[in-house]
Amino acid sequence: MTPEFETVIGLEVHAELSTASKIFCSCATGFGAEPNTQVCPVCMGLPGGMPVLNRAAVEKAVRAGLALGCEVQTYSAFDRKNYFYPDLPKGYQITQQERPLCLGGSLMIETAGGEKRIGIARIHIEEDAAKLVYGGGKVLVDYNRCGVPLAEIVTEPDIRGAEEAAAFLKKLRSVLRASGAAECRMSEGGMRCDVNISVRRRGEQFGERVELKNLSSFRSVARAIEYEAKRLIAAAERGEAAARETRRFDESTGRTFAMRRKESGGDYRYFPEPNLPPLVLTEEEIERIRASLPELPDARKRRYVSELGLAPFDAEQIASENAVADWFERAAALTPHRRRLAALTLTELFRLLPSDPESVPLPPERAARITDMAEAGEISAAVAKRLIERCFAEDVSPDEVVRAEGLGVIRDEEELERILREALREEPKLLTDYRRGKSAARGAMLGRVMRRTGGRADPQAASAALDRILNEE
Amino acid sequence: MNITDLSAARLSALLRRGEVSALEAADAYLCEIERREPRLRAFITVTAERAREQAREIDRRRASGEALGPLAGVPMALKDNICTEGIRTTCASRLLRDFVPPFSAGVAERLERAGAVLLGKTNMDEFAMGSTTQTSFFGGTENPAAPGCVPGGSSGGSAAAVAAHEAAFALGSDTGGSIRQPAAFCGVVGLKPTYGTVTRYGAAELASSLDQIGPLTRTVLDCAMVTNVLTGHDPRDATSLVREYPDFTSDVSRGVKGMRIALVREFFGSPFAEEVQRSVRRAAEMFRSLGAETEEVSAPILTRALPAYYIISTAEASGNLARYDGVRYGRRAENASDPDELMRLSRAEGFGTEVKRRILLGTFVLDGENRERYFEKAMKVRTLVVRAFREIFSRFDLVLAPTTPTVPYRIEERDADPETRYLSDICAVPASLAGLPALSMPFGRDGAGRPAAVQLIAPAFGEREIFRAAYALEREEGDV
Amino acid sequence: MDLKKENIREPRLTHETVARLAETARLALTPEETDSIARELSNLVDYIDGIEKIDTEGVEPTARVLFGGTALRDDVPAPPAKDMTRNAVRAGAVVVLPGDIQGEGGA
Repeated sequence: MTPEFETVIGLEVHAELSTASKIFCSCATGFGAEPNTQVCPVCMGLPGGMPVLNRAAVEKAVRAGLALGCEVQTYSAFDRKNYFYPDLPKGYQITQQERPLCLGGSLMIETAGGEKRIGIARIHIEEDAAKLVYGGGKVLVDYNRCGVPLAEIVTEPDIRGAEEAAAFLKKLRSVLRASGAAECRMSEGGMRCDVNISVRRRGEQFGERVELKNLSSFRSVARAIEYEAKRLIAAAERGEAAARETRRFDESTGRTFAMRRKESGGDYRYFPEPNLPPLVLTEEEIERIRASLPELPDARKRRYVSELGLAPFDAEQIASENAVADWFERAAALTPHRRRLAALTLTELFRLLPSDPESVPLPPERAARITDMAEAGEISAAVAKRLIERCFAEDVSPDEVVRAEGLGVIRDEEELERILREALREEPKLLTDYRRGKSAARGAMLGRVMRRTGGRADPQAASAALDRILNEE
Repeated sequence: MNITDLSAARLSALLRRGEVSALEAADAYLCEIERREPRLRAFITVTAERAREQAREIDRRRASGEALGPLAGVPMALKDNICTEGIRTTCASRLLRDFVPPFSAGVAERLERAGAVLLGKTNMDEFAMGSTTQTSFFGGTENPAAPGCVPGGSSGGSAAAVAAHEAAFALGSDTGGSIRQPAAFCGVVGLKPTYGTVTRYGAAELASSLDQIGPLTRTVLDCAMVTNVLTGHDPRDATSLVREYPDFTSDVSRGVKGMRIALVREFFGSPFAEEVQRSVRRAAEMFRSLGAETEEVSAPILTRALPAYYIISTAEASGNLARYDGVRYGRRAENASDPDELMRLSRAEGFGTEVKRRILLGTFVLDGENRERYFEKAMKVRTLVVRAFREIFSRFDLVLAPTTPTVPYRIEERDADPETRYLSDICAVPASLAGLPALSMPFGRDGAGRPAAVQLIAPAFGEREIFRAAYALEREEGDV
Repeated sequence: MDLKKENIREPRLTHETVARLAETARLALTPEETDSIARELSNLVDYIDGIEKIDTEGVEPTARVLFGGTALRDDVPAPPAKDMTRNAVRAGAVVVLPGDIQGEGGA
């Protein structure tokens, strides 16, 4: 990025709150139902359909607010955001404009320059819109999503680039999941994001703000920001003022496009929603919810560093997924070698898990056993990886697998020497290269032993065996 | 005995005793409807077969000794903005002319449970916007109590049906006088209950912070009886109150001795017609003769609140009517090339002029900087109205006021400019802005025999006091 | 309406203003309709301007007059309602609209 310019970013994240029914009516919220089977007079906008607020939507949003260190408001209220769009049955969205449920929080993210605080301006609750599908000159409408409860989390303009934005979203997702507020299933649109972006010369005023609408993956957010920042900086360098506008990111081309003004709205003619009394919470209710919050990722991370001796980066990764963290703690109680357990978890286990893990199928005691064997040098790193894969997929004990498949480490230097000689006979060039001073050839020779032993060779013993061969002449 | 001449209370007593069957009652009313409808047009839809079916069912259940609701067999009508499952509900609009709701409004369910028999859906100003019942897509209603005159509006069909004995009672909706003003014009009793006491679920909304459903009846006792059935919590309406209600009929005859009744000075003089002022003064005298105290107070904000009412009601309406876009139900424009055009054309073809005018006024008062200048300001004026009533009711039990500034006028005169027509709500909107209960009752006639009326306003939940005072006046007047 | 008054003064709301409001409110008006509504609305706006004369210094706005408090629903899903799309143009259960739209909703 041009060092002269700074990219200033604020995010508006929509997270689907995990409730069984919709925010203003009793329709179910389950994903993947047949079209228009989870609808009623209220969410379909029939005459006389009236909203009644779901207690659980409030509770979940309060959880999110508390988990993000916000001031939960004892008095909040609902407003109508008026605009016409075929995905909006009533011609307005019920949201909280003037008096949001939560104000002022923050989230710490890990960046290249260390920890950074991203301010949360506000969190409010609102209803989702219908799903539109375009094609064949027609627009198809499924209203099942209409009225699904959303928390809109608005950050301060504290984010300075695509990487920070991605780190923030990842961390936010982990906090929302851990607090029980939202599942944030990306594939189901459970977390979506609008990006407000502007560029400025360092030390100068913000430039005009561009809004990028409705991004549904971390990757899209990062790509869209990168593209848009370049576009804005190029414009600024040409001396052009950026227009304040709303743009859409096209996944297939990786570019952004200005939306027509009509679609981007602008003046929403907000007014108080007359059908909903203000939402009044007592301090006791808020404290009750606070008391029921589980330990959150940051607290876990700190504990893993101080109590389990994990490196901060490893601790952050493990603490970010609730199911993994719960699992890790059970396994960590069974082995003294927590750093190795953490390393195996991050390098081997995470690859095997789905993106929204609910649980970890590998029994903690088996993971602890694999860790211990690896730590004691009984198995090699490659075998440890294989064991984790096997015990993840099947109900087998690591000891059985090692015994049955003869996976124990080979320390016998004579045996390793024999294997090495065989390898060098087939590839004499390795030895010639080494003699000519190509030091990399040594590593290649050790690699051949590992390959031939299925990763079971003890690295030290193999090295000693190789030294013996190389010292012969 | 002519069944259709009986009050609802009297008819229900005869039904209970088996002296009249529900089918006889339904037939008598359907017969009257058939006779008078061609001229009156109080109904948009008459559900004759359903009514007879429902009546037979009531008779069957009574014969088998089942416990029946308090209105069992009493024929009634619903304003056509109250959703009825399987029966088209048009809001008197071209846009909804064929709309058949898949569900029923809370009040429709309550009446059905109480055993009332639905005769049909009554005419109204389109989407309840108006005070003449002439903006209906289905043609205007005539005032049966003042031939050639408007019946008032927007619940003009309900008021006319009750006045013409086409129904024992009817429901209307009142946003800024839409029950009380037609009740006054047609010479019947109409109550706008305290905001939140009657469920609004399933009634097409005009201005949600002002709308209330209420009864139109021939007598005060009937009004109390129907109010008993309508009031009560509905979990589907978040503004519906969780509250116990008394039997409103139990102490209607307790009299007004010792009651303190305020007359608001600003409701006299221009623009109030002579005969209107005379009725109010005569009612005040009658209250005094019955042992109440009356006193004149000044509350200028009450007559200056009309612009605030029009700002708030049109702003809310512009939002409430946004759902009528031709997408999910209602008139759908042909030949639209995209969804946006579909909405613009469907709405343009479906809405009448008055509806368009009010939607645009509502859009205007929320538009950009206008929001603060008009809408915010109107909400502050609303606060002043609430305060003025609080001040009055700290010393008084009731306010006695005109319902309308004039007696019914001729249908041809309805096209006066909108500003003049809007003025007809001036006496009704203060109670609406403050969410208070208010009742209009017939009180005398003018020189040409057109009905005159008075309005009684009470603090929140003061329906009992309203009924007591109105009943006393009604009995003393001896009109019924 | 006083014709003379109308001739002297520019209407409060111009044709263009009403056209813009109609676009916001999704009402396809004819030019004649736009003109006549502009005239009527101008009079109405003159009338509601009267509200400016009322002193509301220091007065809090009232959005709703309620005699009860927060009403919340328990999070219990109800069985699906029937026939909710029966008044729409459909293909199966899906509501069908003509044409195409670019861009996304505002929600």
